[in-house]
Amino acid sequence: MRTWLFILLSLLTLGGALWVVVRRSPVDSALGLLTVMVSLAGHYMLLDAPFLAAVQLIVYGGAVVVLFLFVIMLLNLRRETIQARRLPPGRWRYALPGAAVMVALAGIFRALPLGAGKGEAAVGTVREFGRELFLRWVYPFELTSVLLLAALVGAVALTRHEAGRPAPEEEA
Amino acid sequence: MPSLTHHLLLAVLLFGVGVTGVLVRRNALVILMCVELMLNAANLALVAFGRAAGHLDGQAFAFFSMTVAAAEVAVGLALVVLLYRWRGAVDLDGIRLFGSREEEA
Repeated sequence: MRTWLFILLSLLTLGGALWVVVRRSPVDSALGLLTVMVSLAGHYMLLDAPFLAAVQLIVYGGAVVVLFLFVIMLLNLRRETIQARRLPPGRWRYALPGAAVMVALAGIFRALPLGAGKGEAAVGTVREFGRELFLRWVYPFELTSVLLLAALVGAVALTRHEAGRPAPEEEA
Repeated sequence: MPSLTHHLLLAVLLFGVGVTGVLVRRNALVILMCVELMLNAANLALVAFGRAAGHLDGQAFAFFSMTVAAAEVAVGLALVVLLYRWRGAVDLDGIRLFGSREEEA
């Protein structure tokens, strides 16, 4: 059962990831990204990490993908930009470094002395994870609030219209 | 029963697809999405390692990595919006932030 679920979820993950890369429309790419995020939440369930699965769905499937879609709509990309021009021929040769990275990473993981741990134990009920998070990791946890605030302020500061600088529609 | 190796293989493949996307695509939005793919591959590997080791540190790391990724997306998308205001497009080809202006034209 778990094996079949794993195979199904993996196919969804990789299919969604390829969809992100090969589709020309950014909206299609965003939907592929959504597929990847949701199937990864399923993987986290299989890995006995229900809390992370929930966070994955909320943060990635909810916030991040919606933010991407929101920006796509907000930019109001014209048809020629959405239906972007075909990639120039030969552009796919840059897929070679990607394949090289895959091979290198697989080699590194193969060389690792895996299985040296305590063996695959079912860890990570939400209760245990919360305890761990608020006892052992409480300072990093509090620091993330500063990080999120900084990102929030940074995003607002970056995109705020500066006075006296016309919007691009007016320039055109 | 999927083992650590299977999850690591999936993470490696996902990371490779992300790298390929970043190198091949030109649309800044899609490139950001591919960066997200790579981050998620790393998260998957962390959770798989944590489970194999039998403790929760992997999950905690993945949790913080998700937080950082959320912040990164917010700032990255703000930069894309800026780029669009500046150029009227989100294609990254032909953009030379540190080059001379004459070269662009």
